[in-house]
Amino acid sequence: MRHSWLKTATALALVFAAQSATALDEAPMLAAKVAAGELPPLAERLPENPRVIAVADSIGEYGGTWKRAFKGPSDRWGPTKLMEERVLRAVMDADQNISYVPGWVESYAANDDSTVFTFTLRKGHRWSDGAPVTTRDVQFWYEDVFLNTDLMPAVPALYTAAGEPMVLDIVDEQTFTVTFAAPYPLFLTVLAKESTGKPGLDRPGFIEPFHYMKNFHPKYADADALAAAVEANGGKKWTDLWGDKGQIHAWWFNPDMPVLTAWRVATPPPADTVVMERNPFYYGVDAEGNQLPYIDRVEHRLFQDTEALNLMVVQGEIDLQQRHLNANDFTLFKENEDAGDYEVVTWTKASTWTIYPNLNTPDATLKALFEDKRVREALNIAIDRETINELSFSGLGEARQAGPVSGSPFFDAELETAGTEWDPDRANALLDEVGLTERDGDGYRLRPDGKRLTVVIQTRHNALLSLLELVQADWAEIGVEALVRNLDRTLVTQNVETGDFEMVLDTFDRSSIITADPVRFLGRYGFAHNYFKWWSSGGNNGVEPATDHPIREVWTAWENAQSAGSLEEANGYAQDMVSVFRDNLWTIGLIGETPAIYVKANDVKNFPEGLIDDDALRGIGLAQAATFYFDQ
Amino acid sequence: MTDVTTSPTDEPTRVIDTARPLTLMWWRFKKHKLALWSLYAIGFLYFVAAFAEFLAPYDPFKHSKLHAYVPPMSVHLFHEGEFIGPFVYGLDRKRDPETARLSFAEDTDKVLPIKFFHRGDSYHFWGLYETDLHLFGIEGGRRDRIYLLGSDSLGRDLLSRLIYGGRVTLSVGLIGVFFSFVIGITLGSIAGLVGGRVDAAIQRVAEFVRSIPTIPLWLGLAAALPIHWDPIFVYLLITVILALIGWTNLARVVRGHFMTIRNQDFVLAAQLSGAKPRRVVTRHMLPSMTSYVIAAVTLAIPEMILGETALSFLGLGLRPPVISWGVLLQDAQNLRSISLAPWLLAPGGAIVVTILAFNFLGDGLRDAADPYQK
Repeated sequence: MRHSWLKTATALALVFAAQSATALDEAPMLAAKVAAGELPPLAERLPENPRVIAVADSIGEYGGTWKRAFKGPSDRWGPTKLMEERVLRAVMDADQNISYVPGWVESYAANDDSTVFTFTLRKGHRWSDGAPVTTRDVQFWYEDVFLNTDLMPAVPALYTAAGEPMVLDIVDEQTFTVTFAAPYPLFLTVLAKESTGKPGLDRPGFIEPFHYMKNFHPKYADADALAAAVEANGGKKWTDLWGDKGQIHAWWFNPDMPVLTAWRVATPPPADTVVMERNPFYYGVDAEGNQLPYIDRVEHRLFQDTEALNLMVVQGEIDLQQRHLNANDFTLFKENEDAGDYEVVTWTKASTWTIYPNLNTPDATLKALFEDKRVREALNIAIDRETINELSFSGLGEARQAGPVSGSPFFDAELETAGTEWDPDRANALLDEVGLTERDGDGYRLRPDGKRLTVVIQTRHNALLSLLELVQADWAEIGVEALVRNLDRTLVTQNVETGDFEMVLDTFDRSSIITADPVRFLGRYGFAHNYFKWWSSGGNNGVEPATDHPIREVWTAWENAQSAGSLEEANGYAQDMVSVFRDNLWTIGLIGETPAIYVKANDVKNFPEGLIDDDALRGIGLAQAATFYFDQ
Repeated sequence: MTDVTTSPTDEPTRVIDTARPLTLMWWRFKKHKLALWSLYAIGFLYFVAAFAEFLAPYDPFKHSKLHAYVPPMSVHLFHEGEFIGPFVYGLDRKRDPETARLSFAEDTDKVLPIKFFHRGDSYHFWGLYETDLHLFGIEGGRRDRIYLLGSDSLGRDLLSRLIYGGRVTLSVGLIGVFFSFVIGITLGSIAGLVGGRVDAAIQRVAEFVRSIPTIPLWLGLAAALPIHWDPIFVYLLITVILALIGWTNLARVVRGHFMTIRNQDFVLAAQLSGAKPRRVVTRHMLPSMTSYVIAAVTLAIPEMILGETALSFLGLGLRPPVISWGVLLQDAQNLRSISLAPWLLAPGGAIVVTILAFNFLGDGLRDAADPYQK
């Protein structure tokens, strides 16, 4: 009797010891599944060389559900940025220095002239369904997706050099190389932003789960089964099932799609609450070897109206969120911190609110005026940016010109202040010098063709209408009438993409690592969209600028940067691009580096403060969401 | 004569027998005190709207860097126990470094007396001549301003904006309501009275109009209208179009009512006495359904005011910088305003007053128009 009792006690003690030992390594919910035989043990789920992800403050605890909100099935960027995986990722230290580390590859290297890039996969790395990740998956992406003209009618320019698409060579099960016809030093920078393709996870680039996707690709799938699957999904061709609207290829809609990310979708949209659960095969660990992520589940609650979201925040129903929160509501959030048991944490937005005068506007007289630098300078210096910052941004932003933000390696102090000094007298003198001396009865200047000098500013940003009213008043002082038209997003986008507008108010974003995506400097979506189209289409579309037009210098600089022999040289050309941009003052930057407002529940840990919020750095992804945890 | 108008029932002999129906209605209406006051209130609102430039203390577009979200100021009469007439104190502005909230305290050292017939911002009165005379203003430095209803996010005077906003809301905003009722009643009564083919034709037109999907119509309009057009004019156009679509409901109701009463004795009597159809309709048939019409009108007015901004996502509704009560109220429809600047809800008060006034006025008119009332 006594003997058996002792045996039981020993067994129990052993069980406890075993549990506390494994509890350090994996989440209790996974440990239970391992114990039940539903999952292989942790050692078999992790790669031999897992990615060690640094935590911001401390080693965390497992468990908890992260509650946030989303705006509808099309609002997938919020969830995407929490968890997307890249070939390599940007990380930022406390001094805001940006560096790159390997993501789902174990290592990467470039040869001396940046034409051949070698990548090694992690041995033992697995997809979320347990299948191994091998170079076959990369090969499948390259041969059957990237080069498949049904799926990609045009090769994305980012994967080309000297007009030639990249060439993939598989060395062995873990190693592959990418070769370009010409040097492409910025390739790795581009990969950090774009390597899962556009838009993010639902069209993953560089790697595809071959074992799953082959069932939906005509090259591998049984033709009848594929046709049946396509029809069941309501499509006509196999590409309907595959494309980003189809159900198969989108992680966000298809819970069966194998992923590499820390969480995978469990309840997909259009549910009112979209739930993501931890991926038991996630390849990241903390410094003590605990498998990440710490948080079990992420719940995205549907909301319709920004006010509904604000109410959720104030009532403490949001654990961590920045998306859809406006800087205008800073005071509201701040004053309700105690009531909602959260704190407001700010990052800096790598963008500047900017009015873009359209060099391609259909109105020839206006176009000629916008092409005159003196006019652009007058419009710039007529604006009292300090007042705008004070009234429209509660003094939280910074009066500045559009361009690289502080902390960016391409920051140009002279550009930051170009045209920002408020001087209405000089602005008036400049416009007089241009020859716009006649005025009408209301004090507005007359254009050379005798009409009143009126510009229509379009915008889709309702929250900034008050800002435009201030601009209107400032420009009225120099005899320029500004009419504001607040339109729906689709309408504005359409007008911008056809060049059918006079001015538009939008952000000048992507302003930290500009080499990852320099389109704002090249004229796209802004001051010279049709010129940009001409250049990017090789002269097939758009409008050709005059042969001595300075925008050609910007393009030349960028072309040089893309084909430079080394990264230093490439960055040097990118800096030249910024200088040309500065000298021409094409934009009317207003207020930038405004705070990105994160609302963070007090029990959420490891969330760093003061990082740069930029698309090129992947927004919240820069903070490594897998390392966030709840203090329980 | 004064005796007669104040107490017509005391001297029933002559005056009341010979008084015209309108006079009778007026007498009855005056007894409805609430309606009478509502009439005065509406008169006052339209007076304010008409003389907005003079009555508003400031240019409604004039922003002030230092005066965002100033709460309504209180008017004082005594400074340190001494009577000096109406005045306000200067403002002491502070920004909380933590929450970025602005707070304003009264600077009791700075007395800013209110002056009537003050010279302030200049304006073109009714586009006729330029002047700078305002009903009131304060004396002080360039930066001192008076905000009786507080200021908005750009430091603009809410009272001035409310006064100017009434001008748009009470004119352009109500034109649509007016149109749709004129069309609805006219077509409805013709259909109900004449019947037959005319009725069938009008009914089919009404069904056709109702079947037009409105969103594609607005989308088409949004694409077709030149972007340079003044938003107020575009809005006027929209309200007229809305009226052209919106008359059908009322027309149906009027038609149905007319069909039931056209064979009743009082209508027959009128017709047999030789009254022309128009007289039969306006004098005998329509008054019997004034209560419905008035209720419908008073319900349509608030809908119209709140709907001012509804189509703005297509660039068709009223949007800033246009000032109207709907636009002002939209400014206040968020948590931020309710918690930081509740006075921005003041336009809501103005709308409530307007609607109630129209409602009571309608009530009084109905009672006055009712021939069977004692």
